[in-house]
Amino acid sequence: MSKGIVVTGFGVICSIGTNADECLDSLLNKRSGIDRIKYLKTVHKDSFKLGEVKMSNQELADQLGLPSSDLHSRTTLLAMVAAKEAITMAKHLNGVKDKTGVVSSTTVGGMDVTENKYLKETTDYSYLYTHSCGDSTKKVAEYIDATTYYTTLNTACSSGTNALIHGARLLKHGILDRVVVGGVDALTMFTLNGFNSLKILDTDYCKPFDAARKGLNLAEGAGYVVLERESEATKSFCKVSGFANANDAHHQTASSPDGKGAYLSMTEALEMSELKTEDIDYINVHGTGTDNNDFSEGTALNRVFGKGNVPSFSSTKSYTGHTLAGAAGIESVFSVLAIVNNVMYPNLNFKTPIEDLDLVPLTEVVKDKEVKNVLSNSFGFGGNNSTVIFSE
Amino acid sequence: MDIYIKSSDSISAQLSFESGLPSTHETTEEAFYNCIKPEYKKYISPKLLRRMSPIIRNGVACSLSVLNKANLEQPDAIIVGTALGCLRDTTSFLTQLIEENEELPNPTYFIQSTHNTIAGQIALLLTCHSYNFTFSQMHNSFETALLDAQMLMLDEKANNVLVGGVDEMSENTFNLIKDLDCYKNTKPGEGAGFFILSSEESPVKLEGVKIINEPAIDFEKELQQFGLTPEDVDVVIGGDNFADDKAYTDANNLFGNISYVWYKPFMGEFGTVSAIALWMATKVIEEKEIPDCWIKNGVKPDGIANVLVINSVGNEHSLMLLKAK
Repeated sequence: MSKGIVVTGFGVICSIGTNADECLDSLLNKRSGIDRIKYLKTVHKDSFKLGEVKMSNQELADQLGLPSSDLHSRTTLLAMVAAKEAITMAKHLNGVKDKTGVVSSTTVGGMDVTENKYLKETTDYSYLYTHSCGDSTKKVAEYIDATTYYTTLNTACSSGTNALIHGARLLKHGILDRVVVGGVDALTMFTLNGFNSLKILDTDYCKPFDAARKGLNLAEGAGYVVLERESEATKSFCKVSGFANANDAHHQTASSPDGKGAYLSMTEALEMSELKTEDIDYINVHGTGTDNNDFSEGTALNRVFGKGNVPSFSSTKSYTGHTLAGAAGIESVFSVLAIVNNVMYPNLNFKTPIEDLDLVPLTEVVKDKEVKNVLSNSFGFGGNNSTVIFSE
Repeated sequence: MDIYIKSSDSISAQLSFESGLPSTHETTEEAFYNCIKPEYKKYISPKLLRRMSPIIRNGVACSLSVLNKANLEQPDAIIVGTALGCLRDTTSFLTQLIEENEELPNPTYFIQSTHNTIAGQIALLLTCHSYNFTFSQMHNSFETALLDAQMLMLDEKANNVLVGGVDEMSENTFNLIKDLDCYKNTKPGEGAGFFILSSEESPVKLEGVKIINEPAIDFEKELQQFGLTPEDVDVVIGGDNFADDKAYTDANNLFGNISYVWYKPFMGEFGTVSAIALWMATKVIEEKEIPDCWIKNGVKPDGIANVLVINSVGNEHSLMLLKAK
């Protein structure tokens, strides 16, 4: 059903850059954005490394031309930067469209504001307005003048791809002519302590798909792509050729050992794209760097493509860290950039393959091959597995 | 493809669960409405129940009830809308984390704080590997979930979809939100409304759902898209919070002398209360009558073919239209 949906713009802000050009430059020069904590207020300042966006809220507000950063959560500010870059590009390419909307996603919405005011002796309850997930989406839609329709997905770390799926349907059914889809999350004490309580944070740099992986590096950022119907888009960057969402139905937070949900989302997306497994040139894996995810995803990759036949792949979370609902949006932008520039990115910090899986990710930048079809995985709590395929 | 509501149920402040539209309703003396708790044990094992917060219990029990009524073991998709998600677990985790200065708070609260815990738990209980979405867009959370379900079915990717809306309210939450503009002159509340949408014919047809982000609704234009005029509407279910709620005066005037139903003063105001309104609309068509206590203007319906549910908050509106088959 995705036939005829194209990408006409993209925008991104994360620890490796404040726009698509900066991010691509970092990706091609193996420059990670994971570092010691500088901005987040937490007692764990010296214990963990994070993928922070290297800008204060006020600097973000200044860049956006907003009078003050006080009215918005960091989540909203990050989303505005990426969404603005994306829609500006689409307008430049194909002009203004009548019915424009936003389908965003976030896991904790305005929690960055809430956690600094909740239980404090204050009469300032403004955080109650910015707390809900939907608030950031509404603010973004108003900021980029795309208010015909807006909604927010929250399916944890697969949210951004699910936003893309809902957005593609809105185009197909004529509810919108142009839709900005993706996701955002700001770093919070809430999520840092949450993932720490689950003991899945690496205190060092994360090592996705490495035998010695110890966990993820939490991060922040936003990524959006703009979708339009191909029939009405004069120009575009690539197509959305397939997508799917499936449920692992194994455990509330852990992935199944046989990667059932991941297997289903990849096979169903491939089926929709009408591509053969050998047509996939590059896979941007979910690859959080946790013991459980990488084993489960790796097992699913071997099941879908056949052991020894898994295409070139890497986890760009080794650069950006894991941005939760931001991840799928950011990695959608990286996937589009891979097709547009015919490049594939390395997986940083990889040394030894996981026993039994025999999966070796790219460890160097690949520039001399055509990249026609890119598959991107995003998985979340609640057994939520999503896959999207972008094609030349 | 036509889409029907094969089964529906709701958990609310009134005796709605596993029931028709109640013939009486009670108003609360309390500052906010809590829902009437069903016999959860009928659907959920005691072991699981202990771990579940109220929003998860209500979402799961209501889902299992509609699956049961529809005689369905597995839906082809699970789609949930929730405005504020699992607030109790979120505030428990946040409180512990702040009070104990980030000393390893309880991971269970964190795990269950995610909005999609409800849809995830349903999938887990049913071992359901299909499409599983959760929407959270304040008072349009349920409507966007319903629209997603409709589009998914029209794309012929699903024949039976479980879709619902659910939110919870606690003393703690109430104390925080009571001064917000959208709760002025209202009693906040909580509850769940779930449905099985099906391609199989049944008495209630879902004509459509529309989200309108404009200063006002142009009813004539919107109804035209369904081939209807305002005169064709037999029952309007409005989101009035009190007797002369301005947001609904226009609608009242336009639709004139037809049955006007209100429910928020008896169910409470919350982000996904429109799911309960849709459940009421379903019952109105199935039962072909409306108990007097729900009719705001005292006009009894004269035949029920088209039921329109209207919800408005500020410049954000939604319409849901049901038709008797």
